[in-house]
Amino acid sequence: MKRVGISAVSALLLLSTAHSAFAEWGLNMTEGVTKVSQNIHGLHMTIFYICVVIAIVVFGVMLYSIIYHRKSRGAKAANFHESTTVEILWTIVPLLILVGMAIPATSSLIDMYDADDAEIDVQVTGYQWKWRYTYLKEDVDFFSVLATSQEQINNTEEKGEHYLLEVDKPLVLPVDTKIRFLLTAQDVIHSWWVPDLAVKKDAIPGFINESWTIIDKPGIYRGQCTELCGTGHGYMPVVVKAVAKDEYAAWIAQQAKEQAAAREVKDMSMEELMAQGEKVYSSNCLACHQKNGSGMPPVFPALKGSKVALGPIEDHIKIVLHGKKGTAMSAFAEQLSVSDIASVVTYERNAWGNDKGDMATPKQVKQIKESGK
Amino acid sequence: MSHAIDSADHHHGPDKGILRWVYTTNHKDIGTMYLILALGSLLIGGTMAFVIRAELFQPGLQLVDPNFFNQMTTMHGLIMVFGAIMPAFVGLANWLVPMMIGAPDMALPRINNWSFWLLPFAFGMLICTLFMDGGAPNFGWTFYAPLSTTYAPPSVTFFIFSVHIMGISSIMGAVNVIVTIFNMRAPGMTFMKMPLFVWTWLITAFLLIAVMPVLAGVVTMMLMDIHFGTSFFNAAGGGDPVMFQHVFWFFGHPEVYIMILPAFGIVSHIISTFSRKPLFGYTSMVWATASIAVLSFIVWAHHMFTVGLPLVGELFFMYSTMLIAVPTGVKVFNWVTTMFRGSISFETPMLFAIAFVVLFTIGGLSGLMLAIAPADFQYHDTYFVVAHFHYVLVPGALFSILAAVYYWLPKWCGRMYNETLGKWHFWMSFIGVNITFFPMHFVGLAGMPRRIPDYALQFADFNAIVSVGAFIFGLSQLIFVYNVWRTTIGGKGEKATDKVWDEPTGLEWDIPSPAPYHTFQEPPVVK
Amino acid sequence: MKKMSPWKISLIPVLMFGFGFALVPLYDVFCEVTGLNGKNFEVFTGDKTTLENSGNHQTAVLQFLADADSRDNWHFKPEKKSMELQAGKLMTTYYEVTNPYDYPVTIQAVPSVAPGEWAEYLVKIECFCFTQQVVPAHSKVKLPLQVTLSAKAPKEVNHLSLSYRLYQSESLGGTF
Repeated sequence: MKRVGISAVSALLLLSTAHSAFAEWGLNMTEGVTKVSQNIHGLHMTIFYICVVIAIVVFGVMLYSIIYHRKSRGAKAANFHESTTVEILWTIVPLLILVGMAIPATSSLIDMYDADDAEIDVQVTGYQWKWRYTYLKEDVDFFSVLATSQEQINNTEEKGEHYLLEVDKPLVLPVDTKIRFLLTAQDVIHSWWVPDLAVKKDAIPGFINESWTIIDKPGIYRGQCTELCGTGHGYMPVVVKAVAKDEYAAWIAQQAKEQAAAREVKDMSMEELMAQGEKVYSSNCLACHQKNGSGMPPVFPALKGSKVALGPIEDHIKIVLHGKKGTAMSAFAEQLSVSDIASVVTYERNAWGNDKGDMATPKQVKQIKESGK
Repeated sequence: MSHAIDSADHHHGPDKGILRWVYTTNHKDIGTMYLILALGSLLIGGTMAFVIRAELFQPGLQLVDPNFFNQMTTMHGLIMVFGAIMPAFVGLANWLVPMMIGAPDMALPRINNWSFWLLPFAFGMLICTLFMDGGAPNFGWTFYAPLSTTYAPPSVTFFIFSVHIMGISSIMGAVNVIVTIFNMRAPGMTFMKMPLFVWTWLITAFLLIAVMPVLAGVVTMMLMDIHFGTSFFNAAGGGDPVMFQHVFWFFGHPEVYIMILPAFGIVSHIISTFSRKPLFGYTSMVWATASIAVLSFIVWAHHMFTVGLPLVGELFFMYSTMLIAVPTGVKVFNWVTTMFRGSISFETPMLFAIAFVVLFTIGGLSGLMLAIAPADFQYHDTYFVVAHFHYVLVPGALFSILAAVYYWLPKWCGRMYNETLGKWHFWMSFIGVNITFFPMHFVGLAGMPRRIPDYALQFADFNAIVSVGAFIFGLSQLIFVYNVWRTTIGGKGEKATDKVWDEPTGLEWDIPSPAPYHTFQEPPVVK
Repeated sequence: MKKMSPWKISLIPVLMFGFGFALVPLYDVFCEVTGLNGKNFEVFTGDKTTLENSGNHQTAVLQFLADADSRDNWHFKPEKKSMELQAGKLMTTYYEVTNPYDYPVTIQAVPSVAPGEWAEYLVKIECFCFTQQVVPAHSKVKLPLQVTLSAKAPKEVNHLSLSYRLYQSESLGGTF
């Protein structure tokens, strides 16, 4: 009995000193950078310790029996087989422990549901397989796409430090400011999660969900989609960059300028179009249509030798702008600038031996975009 | 002491030839067939797990593309739940319930035959989807809409029919169990004298007839959305994808209790026998099982804490889920108290039963953590959940099935399995199962989501460990397959006595080993 | 011992199958009562003049969001980003949609309100989401919306977000 008691106490001591160290070893939940995330971490550790104590008691008794009540040791079986008192006790005591746990959990939940008085509203829309962020009051709108190269995924290149957790344009937010998220989805159910903020909410097509955060510390916080949404489910990370309030103000102002520049039409040579096109292709098209343009038919058609890439250039531009309904082909009109679209179309028509020889101009793309369909 | 009188009639033995198995209405034959189907499904589902873990051994995509990976995770779940665990428990019910209550067979023997034979067709249809255009179902075993409706591959229709057929089989089987237990108990066997395995199966059968039809309803609604232009789950037509989740989990939560209550019964028998002590708190165990079953109907939305439930709803489901831990805890305490001051020996069935108590409790405790709704926002859809349910299903339900086979096989076939091989199987499974599933708690807490074919570098070390564990665990099941084959078909092994073990209780130990083809043709008298 | 008939027991699965389908309208009722899915905004069908005299001066900011399938190229957007609502005061605004096709399209807007618990305090007197709308070829139309804040809104209701998702008629299923 003494042996079990000593080992139990030492186990508890060991655990109590190690809990925050666990997080560094990748063993435990992050404490995060918001009051909510720290609150949740506290709840998590409390229920964890309660579970550890219960386990030590229960397994301790079992271990004792396994050692001292074995037949090979000469133990004789007792005959008792019921006790109403004991049954009542071990029903009531766990119940009381649970009630004790439910009280702080309730107050945390009530706090998590209070999205009032936010200063900034961001709409988060899940797409197959990327996120779109819209700052509702400031009119800033952009897509956020996985930035890890296909070569890293296919093991032909060494993986970077933030493999699968990096994007081209992160969500930039100011610290110490209440931010409200409005979540929805274009197609299937997705879920937006940033562990360090302890924000997770499902993005459901046709509905909006609400969540909020106040970030205490500047930094870069990475998360992922957490609802199975098809083949690209593991490839649509979330990256939040929290900055000081003045840095945020400057960034937001800069975005308005950049969005205007994206609409600008300039002349580009064939070489410029091909170079930019290859970059745009590898960030936005390669994952499905593959590096050599052969796609993964029937779901992701080949572009090499395809009717679209070798057919009328207007139709090709329209598919890239407006997507194709009933397929996984997205519309890129709101995601890429006119010069990006012109370059990628030019690239697709001339790479992999397609050699069509023609080129799309940003002016042409803008014209088609503005004409409607 | 009551004796079963087996009729000396020689033409009451089994038919000859392979058609015996097609036409049989004998509960022992049908039980055997269910167990073989379950074993086959375990190996197929296990192979799919191998594919999953082989891909996840390292970051990057090495072996399969993401779409096929999603097919593997989906089919692994469906085959293990509907093909391995559930049929195994039905097989055990078929073999044991009539003998334990002193009945000659199940109440509805021909329905019993149908219930079994529907299953190879259902699974054949499901497995064939792997070879269809567009591939097998790839939307997770929980098949949320609209991923499983508007965005599903063509095989979804076969998936739906397969589920319908399995459901009919389960419902008929459950009706059979209920009617058998109500109507065919030997004189003197009141409800409160029934062995605990019979009680847990009676309660499980009620859960089955209550919720399998709801599953049938939800897949029918899917079928209608996909083919008949309705909008149950499509927002465009005024429908709601969240409603799918509510209806699915209304089935889904009781389903996981369906997969564990019979295990509770099995473990109660085995711990009592090998502690040489009566089960502690029989009455309490019955009430606890019934409470768990009733409560299982009002906890479903704890699978949906991040969907955007209203606060009141979220709190309700948190409280009800925490509450269900109480009767479950009571059962664990009762098993431990049964062992306490007993005279314990550690044959293979007891090893698996003890491991069940320890490891299922760990799974149950992680379940309690998941119940804390605010914390669940950080656990939901991560590997922490995968760890939880694998602990309760693998060293939980599966270990109890393995324990049951070791415990009752000598009664079924008249020979002892090889105890050395049994112990090897146990220790390798115990070590393998923990190496596989314990690290999943860590990667889940560290932020790794579920159902992804590839992951960030900080998750790599633990994933490699998990994959190694999975291979150890999976391959060790072959020891079990060999042992069972060797004892049954191979005919090796010491002859078993009628009692097999050291004074077990129950009517099934009053008949010879192997159990004659027809038993209890005259009802025994139970005092 | 009383006999349990298999037919009697089989009634349970049959009833539960029906229950599964009954869950669909039950879910709607439940959502009405709890605001679960943000769809139980009030639809006002009475006399508009009665609204003005509620005596409640509660205000709330109503934010407008617009979503459509990006492949449809409809330029669906609200006239205003947000508007202050006052209990009893009728506010009018509109959403704009452009049909770029050569043929008229029938569209259906599907609304959603966040937070769901407060959706019942948004009163809609007129909304383009009540019916399907036909948009002629190559034209831009204004879709009207008339709303107010319910007199029953408690003090804490100070913000609401109203989102519309636009669907084209062929993606509509039956009416559910």
